[in-house]
Formats: sequence, structure tokens, C-alpha cells
Amino acid sequence: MGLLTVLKKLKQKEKEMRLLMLGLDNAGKTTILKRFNGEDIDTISPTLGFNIKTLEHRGFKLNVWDVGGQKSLRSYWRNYFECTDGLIWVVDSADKRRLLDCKKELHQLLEEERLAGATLLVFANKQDLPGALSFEEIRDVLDLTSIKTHHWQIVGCSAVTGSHLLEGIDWLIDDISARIFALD
Amino acid sequence: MEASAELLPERLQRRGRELQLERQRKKQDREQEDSNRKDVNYFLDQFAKNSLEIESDLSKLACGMVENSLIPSAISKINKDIQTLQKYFSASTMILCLHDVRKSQERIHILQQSLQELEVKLLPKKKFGFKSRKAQNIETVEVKVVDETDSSEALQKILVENDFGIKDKTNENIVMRGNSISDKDVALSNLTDCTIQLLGSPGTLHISNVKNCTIMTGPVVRSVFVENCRDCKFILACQQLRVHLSNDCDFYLHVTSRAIIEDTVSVRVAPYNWSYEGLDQDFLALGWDCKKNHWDSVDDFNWLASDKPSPNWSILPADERMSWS
Repeated sequence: MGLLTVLKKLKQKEKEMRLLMLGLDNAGKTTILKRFNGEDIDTISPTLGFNIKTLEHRGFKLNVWDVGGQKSLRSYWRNYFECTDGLIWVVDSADKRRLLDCKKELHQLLEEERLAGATLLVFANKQDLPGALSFEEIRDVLDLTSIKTHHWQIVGCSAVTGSHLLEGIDWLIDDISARIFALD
Repeated sequence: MEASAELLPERLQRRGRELQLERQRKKQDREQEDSNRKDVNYFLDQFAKNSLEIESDLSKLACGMVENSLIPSAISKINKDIQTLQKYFSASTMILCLHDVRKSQERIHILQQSLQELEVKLLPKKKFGFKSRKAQNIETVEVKVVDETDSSEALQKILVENDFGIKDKTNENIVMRGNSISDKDVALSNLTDCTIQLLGSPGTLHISNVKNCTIMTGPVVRSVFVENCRDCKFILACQQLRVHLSNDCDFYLHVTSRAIIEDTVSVRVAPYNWSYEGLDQDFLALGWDCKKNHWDSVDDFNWLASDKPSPNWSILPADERMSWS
């Protein structure tokens, strides 16, 4: 699977990446996507289904899939695993009650064979809120340091203010391109 | 051994032909797909046709209509067909409604399962050491996760103990106001027969395990969560409302995006009709457009058909609406 993906990518002239954005409901996935795309973020409703956006960034074509995080939708996440280069896991840093839930879902996801080659970016979102945990605290609660199967990074950000979003995406692109386009 | 060696060139040729046919078919499929991307019906027809073909291939195998020597190639052909179908489905998900996505996914899953069963039955000797090793890996991972859960459970307990709000009350009338709740993350939990009034503008509101209560709040800056509640009346203004695992509740709502319910039944909605001194200022401070209120459009995540409304929520008839001020 991993090798096939690489070969397929090498054939592609365009530098295309498929990014899958997941996380619990109310984490801010759609807000991140819309903020990154420069759209209005005031009227976002809970995602019933999914959004897909193609973004141009640094000469890369990013196909971002934003899939709803409500419990009843999580069983559909697997439908989107195929050919994923990067996984963006979004965390509501102020929602302390569900961090354990969040951790469980993330670690379950990382066992998925079809996501084996994907780079993991964790966005500790909502850093602008007064009660938000820092990205270091989120890293410890989610036990990210135990992840040996994926390249990962955690970035504290705020989709509402836009802070550190680019930083995270840039790291993700660098890591994926080092892996996939190395032979170009 | 000899027999299979003789068969090899023939098999290769056949494989070559199959691949070519496959490539042609794929090319055709792709062309068709491009021209019909918007056409869901086309997808559904095609999907049904292809899965029927696969099913008939499967049943031929199951009935022993395939010669022993041809079984491996038949199985690999079916496997390939299922993969093609899966790819076709993945490429089409963006035009499909959730209902179709689920149906198709189930269908593919059933095909994969029956193929696996047949494979086990017809090709018992499979020298492939990967499976057991993989199983081992998973086991160790699971054990690890259990260990970690203990420590993070403890951690989460500490986090939640510092909750700000009201909990474990019965039959009380509680008012919180102004700066004490302003932009705070307020939690209301384990309440029975209480009336709670939040005169002000909390940041988020988390309501859980509440029975037979009336809860009123000024405009909540971000979202309101309602979980495990029954026989309650909620008078809420917020940006987003999520209701989980609840039943028999009335919501008087001002919601600027859409409200959603999940695993919830017997919900009735009405427009927000509470007022207190300073409510208008609280609304103004958030910069909300008071005319934009989507109280009557609720998304039910357990009701995926778009042609029929969800039976789990309804609009509260005007003559049954209560007033609070």
C-alpha cells in the first residue's frame, strides 16, 4: 500500500496531497478549513456529512476532506482513509471533559492500516479561549509521545484568530513532501 | 507442481488479456464517470449492476461451478472487481447523500465478507505468516492503551473536578448573573427538579444528566451541549446547540447557526422568549444579528433521508408555548 502510493504519486505531475481532517464534534475542523480558505466563519453549523476543499498553497494542491465529528458519523470516517497523505486531528483544547474520548478515538484511528503511511498533525485548537489547555498539556493528555508509527507534530492554534494555522500546515506539507516527492 | 508449471504461460496470457480488458473497462468507466459525475442515479445503477455481477460470480464459486484449477484466478478476479467497485464508490462519495454512502458501504462490506469466507473455505492452505504477526502487534498495542487509560482517566478527573458551575442539586432555584459567568465555560450537571437562571453571557454551556428542570440563559457566546437530559425546558440563546442522548425536552431557542440532535427523541422547539434586564445589551455585546434565528431548522444526525422530515423533533404549537418573564 505504502509503496503503491509512492509510485502513484511519483507519476503525478502535479504536486497533489490528500489531507483528511478529523476530530470530535465541535473541535473546529470546518472553522479551520474555512479560515484557511479565507471564508466567513460566523455561521458554521455542525457538519452533517463532510466538506471538501481544494486549496493551493506553496505550489501544492491540497485536497482537504473535513468530515463531521458527531458520534453517529465517526463510523463513516473509514470511508475517507484511502490514499490519505496527511491526517489533521483537531482538538478542542477547552473541552476538558471529552479529552479522554478524543484520545481514544485518535489512538484507534492510528491503528488503521489504511492510514499507515500518513503524517499526523494535531491542532490544539481554541487557544484563544480563557480555559484552554496549552499544546504541551494536550500532548501529554493525548499521550502523543507514545506514537511511533507515524510522523507527528502538535501545534497550538486558534481557528478564530488564525494564529499558527499556517505554521501547522507548513510542517505537514514539508513532512509529506519529504516522504512522497523526494525523488522528483 | 508440474501441472501448475504447464499452466503458467497459459495463465499469464489469460492474466494479460484480463488486465487489458480490465484496463479498457477502467478507462471506459473513468470516461463515463467524468461525464456523469453529477448523476447520482447513474452511480446507483452502475453500483447495483457491478455488485450484482460480483454476487453472481461469488455464488458460482460457492456452488462449485468453477473448476478447481480456476478457483484462485476466479477469487483474485472477484477481489479485483470489489476493489474497483470500492474505488468507484470512493470517487463518487462526494455526490452521494449519507444514506447512499452507508448503503453502498454496507454492500461492499458484505461482498468482501463473503469473498473472505469463500477464500477460507476453498483455499485453505495459505502460507503467509503475516496474519499472526499482525495479530500480535495489535494485542500489544491494546494492552498499552489500557495502561494509559488509567493514568489519563485520573488526569481527566482532576480536569473535570475544577469545573465551574452547578452540580448535584435537587429541587433548588438558582440564579447566577453578570461577571461571575461572563465568557466562562459553565457546567450544569446532575440536577433534578431545579430552576436555573443564568442572567448573562457564558462562553460555553455544558448541561448533562438533568431531569425535570427549567434552565434559562442569556446569549451563550459559542456552543451549548446538552447530554442525558429528560423532561426539561431549556430557554437558550447560542451560536450552536448540540443535543445528545436526551428525550422529552422543549427548547426555546435563539440559535445563529443550526441546532443538531443525535440519539435524541421527542424534542420540541419554539423561538426564544425569555427576557431580563440587560438581555438586549448582552445580545448587542456579541454583535449578533437578532433577526437571524434558526430555531426551527434542526439537523437530526440519526435521520439521514433528506426527503422526509425527522420524526424525532417537532415545532411546539404556539398555544402550548410558555412564557418566562
